[in-house]
Amino acid sequence: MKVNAIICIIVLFSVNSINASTVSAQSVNEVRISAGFSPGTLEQAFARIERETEFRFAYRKGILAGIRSPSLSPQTRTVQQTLDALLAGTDLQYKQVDNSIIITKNTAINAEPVLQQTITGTVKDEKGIPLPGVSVKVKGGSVAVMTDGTGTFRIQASRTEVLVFSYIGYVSTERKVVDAAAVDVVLKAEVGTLDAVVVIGYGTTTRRNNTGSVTSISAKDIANQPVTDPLAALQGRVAGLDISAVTGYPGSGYSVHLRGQNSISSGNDPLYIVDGIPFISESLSQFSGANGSQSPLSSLNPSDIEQIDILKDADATAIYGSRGANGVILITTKKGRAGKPEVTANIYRGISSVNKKVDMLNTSQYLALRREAFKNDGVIPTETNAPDLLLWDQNLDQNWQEKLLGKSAPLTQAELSLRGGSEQTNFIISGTVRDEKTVLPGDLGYKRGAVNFSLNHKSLDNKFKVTSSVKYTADENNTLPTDLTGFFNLAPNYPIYDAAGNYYWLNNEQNPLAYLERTSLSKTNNLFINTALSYQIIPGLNAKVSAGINKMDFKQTQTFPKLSFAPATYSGSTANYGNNTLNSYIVEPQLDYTLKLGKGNLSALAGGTWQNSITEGQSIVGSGYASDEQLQNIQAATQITARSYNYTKYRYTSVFGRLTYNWDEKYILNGTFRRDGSSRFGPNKQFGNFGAVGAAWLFSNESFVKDKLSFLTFGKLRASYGTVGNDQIGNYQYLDSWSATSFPYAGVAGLAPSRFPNPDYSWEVNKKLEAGLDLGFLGDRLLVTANFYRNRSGNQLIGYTLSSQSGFDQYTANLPAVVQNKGFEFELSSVNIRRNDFTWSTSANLSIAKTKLLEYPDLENSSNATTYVIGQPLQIVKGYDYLGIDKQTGVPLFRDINGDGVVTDPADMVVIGNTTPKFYGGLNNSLSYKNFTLDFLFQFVKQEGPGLNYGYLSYSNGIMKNKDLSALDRWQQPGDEADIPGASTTAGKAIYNAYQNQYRLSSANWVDASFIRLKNVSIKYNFASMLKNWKLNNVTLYLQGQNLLTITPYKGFDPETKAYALPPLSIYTAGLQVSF
Amino acid sequence: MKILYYILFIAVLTGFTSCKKYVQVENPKDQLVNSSIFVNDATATAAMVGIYSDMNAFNYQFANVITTFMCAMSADEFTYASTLANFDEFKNNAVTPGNSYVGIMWSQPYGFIYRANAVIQGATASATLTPAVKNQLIGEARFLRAFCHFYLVNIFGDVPLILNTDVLTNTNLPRTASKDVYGAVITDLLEAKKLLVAAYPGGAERTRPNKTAASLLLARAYLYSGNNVSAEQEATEVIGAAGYSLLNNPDVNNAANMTKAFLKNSAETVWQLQVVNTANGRNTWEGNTIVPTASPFYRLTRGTLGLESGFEAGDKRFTNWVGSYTTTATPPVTYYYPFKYKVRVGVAGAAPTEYSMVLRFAEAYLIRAEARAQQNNFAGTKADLDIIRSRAGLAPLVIAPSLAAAMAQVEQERRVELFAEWGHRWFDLKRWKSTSGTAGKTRADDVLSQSKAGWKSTAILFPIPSEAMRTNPNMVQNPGYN
Repeated sequence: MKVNAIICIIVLFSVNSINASTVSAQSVNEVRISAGFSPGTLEQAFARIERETEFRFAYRKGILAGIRSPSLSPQTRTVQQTLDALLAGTDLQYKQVDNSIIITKNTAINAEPVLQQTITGTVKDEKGIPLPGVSVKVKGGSVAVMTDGTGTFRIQASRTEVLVFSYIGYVSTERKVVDAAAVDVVLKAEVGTLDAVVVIGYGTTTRRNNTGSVTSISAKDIANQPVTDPLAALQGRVAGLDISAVTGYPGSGYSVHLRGQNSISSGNDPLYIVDGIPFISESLSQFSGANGSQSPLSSLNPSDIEQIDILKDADATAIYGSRGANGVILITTKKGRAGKPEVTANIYRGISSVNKKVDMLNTSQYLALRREAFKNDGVIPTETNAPDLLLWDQNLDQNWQEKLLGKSAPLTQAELSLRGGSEQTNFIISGTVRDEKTVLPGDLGYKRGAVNFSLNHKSLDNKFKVTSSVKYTADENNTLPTDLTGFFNLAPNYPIYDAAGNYYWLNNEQNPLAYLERTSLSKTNNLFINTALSYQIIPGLNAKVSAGINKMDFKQTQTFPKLSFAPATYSGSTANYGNNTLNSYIVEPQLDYTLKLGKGNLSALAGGTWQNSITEGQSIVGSGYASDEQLQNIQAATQITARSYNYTKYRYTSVFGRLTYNWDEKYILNGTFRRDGSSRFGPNKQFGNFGAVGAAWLFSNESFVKDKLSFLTFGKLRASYGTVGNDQIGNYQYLDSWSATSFPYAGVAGLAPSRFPNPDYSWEVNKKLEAGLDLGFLGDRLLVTANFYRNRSGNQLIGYTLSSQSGFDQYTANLPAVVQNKGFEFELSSVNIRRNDFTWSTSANLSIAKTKLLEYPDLENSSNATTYVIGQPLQIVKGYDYLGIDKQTGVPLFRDINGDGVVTDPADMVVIGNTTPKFYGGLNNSLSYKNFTLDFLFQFVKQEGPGLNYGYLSYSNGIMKNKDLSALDRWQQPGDEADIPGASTTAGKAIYNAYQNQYRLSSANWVDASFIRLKNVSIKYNFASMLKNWKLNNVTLYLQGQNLLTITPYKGFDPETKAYALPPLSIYTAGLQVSF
Repeated sequence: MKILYYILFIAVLTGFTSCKKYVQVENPKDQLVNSSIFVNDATATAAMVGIYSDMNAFNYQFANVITTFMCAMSADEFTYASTLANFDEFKNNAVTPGNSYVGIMWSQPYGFIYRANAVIQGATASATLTPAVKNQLIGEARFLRAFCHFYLVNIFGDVPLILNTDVLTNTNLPRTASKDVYGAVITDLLEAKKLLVAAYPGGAERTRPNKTAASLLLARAYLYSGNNVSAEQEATEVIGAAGYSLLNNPDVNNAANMTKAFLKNSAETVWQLQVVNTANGRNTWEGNTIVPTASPFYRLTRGTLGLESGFEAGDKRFTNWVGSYTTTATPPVTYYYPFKYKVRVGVAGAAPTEYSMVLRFAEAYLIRAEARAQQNNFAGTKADLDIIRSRAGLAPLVIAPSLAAAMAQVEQERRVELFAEWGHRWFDLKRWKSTSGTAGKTRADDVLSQSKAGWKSTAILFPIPSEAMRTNPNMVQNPGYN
C-alpha cells in the first residue's frame, strides 16, 4: 500500500535524523583525536580529521589554495586544539554548525580586537513619530532588544556588526555599526504586500513566490467591522468568495460559496482551518430558532483573528485532499510578539436596526382590496371568512414591521489584551466580551465572552520552537423559536389584544406578539487548544508535530407556554431541551526540508494526519408542567419524551507531501500530493489520491524586463492544475441500518430503516485548472492580479432524488455528472497618493463567474429531470412564463408550452432565472491625513432572485393578508391594463387558482436583486502624538458603520437575504482604543 | 527533545500498522445494521411495530387526521370554519397538486409499503425467527401493504403497485390499473388471513391486526371491487368471530353504551392504532383536533343537504356521536361537530383512554347489507341494517324490493354510521354509480353538484402530488388537474 510505503520513508527519515542529531550534540572541544600530522595541504589534514571523527568540513573552493598545513606531533588533542594549531597563522577561521565545521576567511584579521560597546539610538517612522516595540537585533547573533515608548534602544554590539530593525508593517532595515555614535533609523511603512506572509496549507510563502491562488485579509480590515461572525468581515473583500447572510439575527448562518457551487447536492462549504486545526462548519443546533441554525463560526471571536487566507486553486487546496474541493479558509489567530508588554484596551458601543422596510397597503387600501376580492368571487363576507371586514376596527392601521422589527438594538464590545515577551518567549492574552440586543420587541440578544491565550517559545539556539494557544468562547443566544419577519403581511387592523386585554385569537391562527411569550435560548461553549512543536534536526531539516483539540458543547432550551398558543390549539405547555457535543482531535506530524540545489532552492514537505471527531447529542420534549414558570426546568415535566438521539463518529487519516523548486527567483515549480482515507465512505472506497502541480514564472526578474520595462516592477505568470475531493456528505451514508422510531408501540420500541443504503460510493472529485497573472507597477505601488479558473466537479455524490412511491425520497450515489465553475477574478491594490501627511490607497476586486451543468447521464429519465438542465447553472429556478393579465377577467396568463390547453407542473415550466450572482466584488478606499484615517468599502452584486411575491408564502391579492404597494396596480375591472392579478380570496376561483398555482411561481415575480452596498465605513482619529507625555502608544477614537446604505432595484426586504428573512442589520458604533 | 521524536516515532508506527483500520469506524450507536434485524423475534417485531408507531406519531398524517378530515371535507361530512388555503382546496373540491396534504397522503403510505415489503422479505428469508412470530409478522406486513394500497387506489385511482424493496426500479414504476391494484390487495389479504390468528398478538390490546382485521378489510376490498358473493362471505365471517359486538349490550335501550365505542380495545374494535405521542395527556389526534374548547372549528355540513340534517329523528348516533355548541349571538346559532372521540386532552401522565379507530365491527354489517342488496337479497339487507339501526334506537326498516331502494337505505346508514372515519363517505360517493343512470357519472356527481358550487366530476380523485409528477418521469396526472 502506497500510504504505508510513504510512512515507512518518513519513519526511516526520522530515525536517521535521531542518530544524526545525537552525534551533533558533541562539540569540537569535546571530541578528541589522537593523530600526528605531517606537513601537507589543509585538505589532507581535514580529510584525516573526517576519518577519525564524525565532523565534516565545508569551505568555499579555493580558499585553502596555497596554504600549507604545519606538522603536528602525534598526541591526543581535542578537535578544537588540532584546528587552532593547523590554522594558526592563516587568515582562516572555523565555526561548528552541528557536526559540520565551516572554514571561512577571517576578514577581520589584523583588525583591532573585537570590542563590545553600547550602541544607542532611536527609531522613528517616516513622519518622525517614535516607534516603540521595534525589534533591534545583532545580525547573526542572539542579542536582541526592543525600543521603548520613545523609540529609543540600547544594545551591546561591536563595530562592524550589523543591526537589524524589524517591526510589523514596516520594511526591515539593516544598519552597520560604524562607531559609538547614535544610530537613528527611519523605518518605512511597507507599501506593496508582495513580501507579506501568505499562509498556505502546512506552511507559509509570500505573494511574490506563491504558485497558487490565495487572497489574504488582515486583522486591520477585520477590526474595522463591528460584526459578530468572522465570515461577515469577509463580505465584498475577496475575489471568488460569495458570502450572504441567511438572516439578520445574531448567530445566524452564512451561505458561503468559494468559486461557485461545485456539488449538486452535497456540502458546498469551504474547509475552515483555524491555526492548523479543522473547524466544523455544520451547526450543532437541535431545534431551529428565529435565526435558523446557530452558526458554529460565530463562536470564533473576530477580534482574535490576525489573518484570514482564502485558498482557491488546486495548487493551494490539493494538500487538503478530499476536503479541499470547495476551497479552504485558513484562519490564523493572534499570537505573542516580542517586545515591551503592551496593553491594549478597545471598547465600542453602537446600535443596530433594520433600515429597509417594505411599504405595505394601509388599512383603507387593504380593506378595499378585501371587499373587492369578495365581490369578484361573488362571495358574501361573513364573520367567519372576513373578520377583518366585519369584526375588527376599520380604522386601526398597524405597521407590523415597525412593531415587530422596529427597535434599535444596542451593541457593546470590549476587549483587553496584553502582548509582549522576549525573542525567546512571548505571549498574548486577551479577553473580549460582546453584548448585542435584537431588533425584536422584548429583551432578546446575543452575548459572547472569549479568551485567547497564546504562548511562543524558542530555544536559545533557535532550533526548538513551540507555539501553543488556548481559546475559549462562551456564547448565549437568547432569541425566539420563530422569526417574526414573516408576519409583516398580517392584516393591518388585526387586533393584538381583545377587549379584556388578553391576546386576541382568530381561530387557530397565530398572534405574532404571543410568539414573544416563547423563548429559545442556546448556549455554546467552545474550547480550542492547539500546539505546534518543531525542531531543527540539521540546518534546513525541521520536524514538526501539530496537534489540536476542539471541544464544543451546545445546549438549547425552548419553551412554549400556554399564553403563546391559540386556546383552540393549546393542548398543554411544552418545552424542548437539546444538547449536542463535538469532541475532535487531530495530530499531524510533518517534516520539511530545504536545500540549495544549483541556482535554486528546493523545499520538501511530508506529513500525515490522524483526525477523530465524535458528535453526540439528543433532544427531549417535556410536557405536563404544573406551572408555565417551570418550563425551563426539565425536572418539572411530568412527561418526558425523547425526541432524537444522534451519534456520529468521523475518522480521517492521510499522508501528504509537497515539493517546491524555486530556480533563481525566476521559475517556481510546486507539486502537492495527498492520500486520504475517510470513514464517511463505503468500506471498499475509503481511500483516494489527490494532487496538483503549480508553476510560476517571475518574468520581471528576467533581464529583458528589468532593462526594457522598468515601470513593471513585478510580473508573474502562474498556472496550476490538480484534483481535489469533497467529503461533505454526512456520516454512515453507506450503511444499511435501522433507527429507533420516535415512540414505542404496543410495548415494543419500533425500528425504521435509516436510509436506502448504497455501499458503492466514492469521492466527489473536483478538477481545478487555473491561470493567473500578477503585475506590479511603479515600485509595486500598483498591484494587479488576474485569475482565470475552470473547476470541473465530477463523480457527483448526489442525494439522488427518488420518487416517494419507492419508499424513500432519495439515496446517495455517485453519478458521472459534471458541474463546471468558470470565472475570472481581478484584484487590484494601489497607493494612489503617498505624501508625508496624506495617503490614499484603494483595493478592489471583481469576480465574474458561471456555473454550468456539463453532463448528467440520462438526465431526462432521471428524477432530477425537471430540476436541472444541461448547459444551465445548477441554481436555475423553474417557473411559469408569465404573459400578462387577461384584460377581461383579471386572471394572470401563462405560456402553455406543450399546447395542451392547460398550464401544468412540470410540463409548462421554464427556466425563469437562477440564483448565482453574475458578477460581484468590492471596492475599498483608505485615506489617512495626519492622525485621521478613513476606510470605506462598497460591496456590489449583480444577481436576480425571488421577489417579495415569489413562493408558497405569497397569497392571492385579497386573502386575509396584507400586500405590498404593488397590489394597488392590480386589475380591477374589465378592460384594465394591469400587470398585477385581480383580487380573489376564494379557493377554486379562476384568479385565485391562477395566483396560487402559477403566478407566485412565475417569471412575474422573479426580479433583479442586484445591489451596491456601502458595507463598511470606519473613521479613526489617533491622539497619540498629542498625548506624547502620557506614555501612550495609541489613543484612537473611531466611528464604524456596517451595511449603511444599499442601492438596489429590489422591492422586497433585502436583496442579500431575499424572501421573508430578517434583513442584515445596519450597525453604527463609536469606540475608543488605547494601548500603552 | 528526544521525547518529541519518540512521540513522532510511535505515532507514525501506529499509523503504519493501522492506517486502514483507523478509518473503519464501528457502527453508530443510534442505528442497528440491517443484517441484525431479522435474526431474532424482538428486533424483527420492532421493525413491524415501528410502522404503526410512525403512522400515529404526529398529527396531520396519512393515518390520522389527514385522510379522515380531507376526505370528509371533500365529501359532505364536515368543514372547517375558517379560511386556510390548504383546507379550502378540499372544502371547495379544488385541490392543487402542490397541496402539502395530498403529498402526505401519497408519500406516507408508500413509505409504509416499503417497510412492509422489507419485513416480508426479511422475515421470509430468516431461518432464526420462531415460526409463530414469523407468520404473524409476514401476515401483518401483507395486511399493512394491502391497507396502504387500498387507500392509495381509492384516493388517487390507478397507482403504482409496489411489491418489493427494489427501490431503484420502484421509483419509476408507472401507475397500475385499479383492478390490478385491487387484485394485489385481495391476494395480500387472503395470505394475511391465512398467516394471522384470531388472537391479537401481545395480549389484550387490539393495536396490531389479527385474522379478523384481515377478514374485514378483505370484505371491504371485495365489496369495492364488485365481488359481492365473497364480500358477503367475508363479512359473515367477521360477524361470526368471537369477541366483537356492537356496544348496545345487554340492554337494547341503553344506547349510551355506544359512547364507549371509541374507547381503547372496545368490543367494537377490530383494529385501532395505539396513541403513542401522549404529551400532556393527549389521546387521539382526531379527538385532540376536533373536540372544541368552545365554538367548534370542524362543523357538520349545514342546511338540509348537510350531515347535521342527515340523521333521522331519535337517532342515538346523533345524540351520542355528534356534539353541539350554541353561540351567544342573537339569534343564537347551533353548530354540530363530530364527537365520536370524546377526549381533547386527557390527564397528563395518565394512560390514554381512547385509541384511533381504523377498522370497526359495525362496518361488517354494512358491507354485508350492501353485498346482499347487490345480489337482490333485500331481506338480508334489511336484517343487517336493522341490527345497526336498532343499536341507534331506530325502528326496523321497511324496504321496497328494489336495488335502488335498498341502496338508498345502505347509503343512509353508511353515512350516519361511518361519518368522520377514514373517508368512508367520500369513497362511497366515488364508487357508486349515479342514480340518474348517466354513463360515467358517479353518486358524487348527484350529491355534491347540489351542495357544492363549481363541482366537477374529475374532483373525485385527488391530483397526483407535484412531487410525484416531478420525480417519476412515468407518472401521469389525473384528469382535470393542471
